Amino acid sequence: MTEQKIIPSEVKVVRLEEEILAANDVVAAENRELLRQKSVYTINLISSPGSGKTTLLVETLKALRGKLRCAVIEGDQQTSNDADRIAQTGVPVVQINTIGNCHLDAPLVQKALAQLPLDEIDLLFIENVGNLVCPAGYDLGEQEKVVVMSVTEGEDKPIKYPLAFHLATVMVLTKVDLLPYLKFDKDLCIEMAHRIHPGLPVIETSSYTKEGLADWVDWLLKKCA
Amino acid sequence: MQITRQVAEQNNMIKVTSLLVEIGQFSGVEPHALEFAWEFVSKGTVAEGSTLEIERPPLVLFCTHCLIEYPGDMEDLRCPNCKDEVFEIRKGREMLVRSISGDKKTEKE
Repeated sequence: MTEQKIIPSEVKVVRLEEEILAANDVVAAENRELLRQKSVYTINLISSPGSGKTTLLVETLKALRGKLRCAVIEGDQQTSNDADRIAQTGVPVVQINTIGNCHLDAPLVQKALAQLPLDEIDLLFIENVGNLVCPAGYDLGEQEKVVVMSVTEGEDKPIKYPLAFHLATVMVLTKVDLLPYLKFDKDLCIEMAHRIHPGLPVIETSSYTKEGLADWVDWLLKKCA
Repeated sequence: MQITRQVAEQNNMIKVTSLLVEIGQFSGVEPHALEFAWEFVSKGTVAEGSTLEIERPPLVLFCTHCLIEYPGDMEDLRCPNCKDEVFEIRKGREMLVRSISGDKKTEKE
């Protein structure tokens, strides 16, 4: 008979070098492979709440109509308000409510991908939860991270949240039609972004006046070409 | 937590007492927030009450133009020599569990 005896003084130390996000990264790699096989170009949109991400997306989807077949995964803690706005444009959309979580992760995106007609999609936008911190740390399987920032925010956002700006391949500056009414120093903002990410392309847009939208749409069309 | 549970199970630990984790300065993770969260996440598990020891590797960058490693300034990542050339992150993005310590269940004849 074996008798189990607990000797709390016996201490075991297990040495590991285990990546905390390894489980996420495995699923992200699966997502990336699936999207590659289906030829879906995927963009992870990261920004603060209120940057005008959803409005930019609605205008972008309208501009891409007839040019690319788009779809959207919407991440929000609560509500399907954003997904409803996207659905009005007629593109397929899946809402993910993260409830307590401040970011999307690869397993959540994997579930959403299963609900989309991937064979009929050229370009997929993943609108992350409005937050510049955690979304930067989680790979979802996307090709590009795009950071969206509005001119109604502090111009020092790039140096306050450097990881998001460092990992992004383009920065979309929104609401530029408001510049005449603000003290926002656009050149300083771009200079700060370049301290974190030298050469980061910046596209200035206004979803209201449509200024700069064509540049952003061209950037997307080139990526999907 | 998933890693901790697995390690505890595989190593017959009845209790996890401490963890050593490495959270790079440029990982986007705030150590205090992690400690605070850990207390809650570990509650009711094999790791309840365990201490979290957090190492903070600083940001180290490498300039691919000047071929030098330099300490990263979190507000300006550019190479101090050439300013606008491309650089690589050598250190500072780590998020690792380095070791897990605990009390082991022993079997005796």
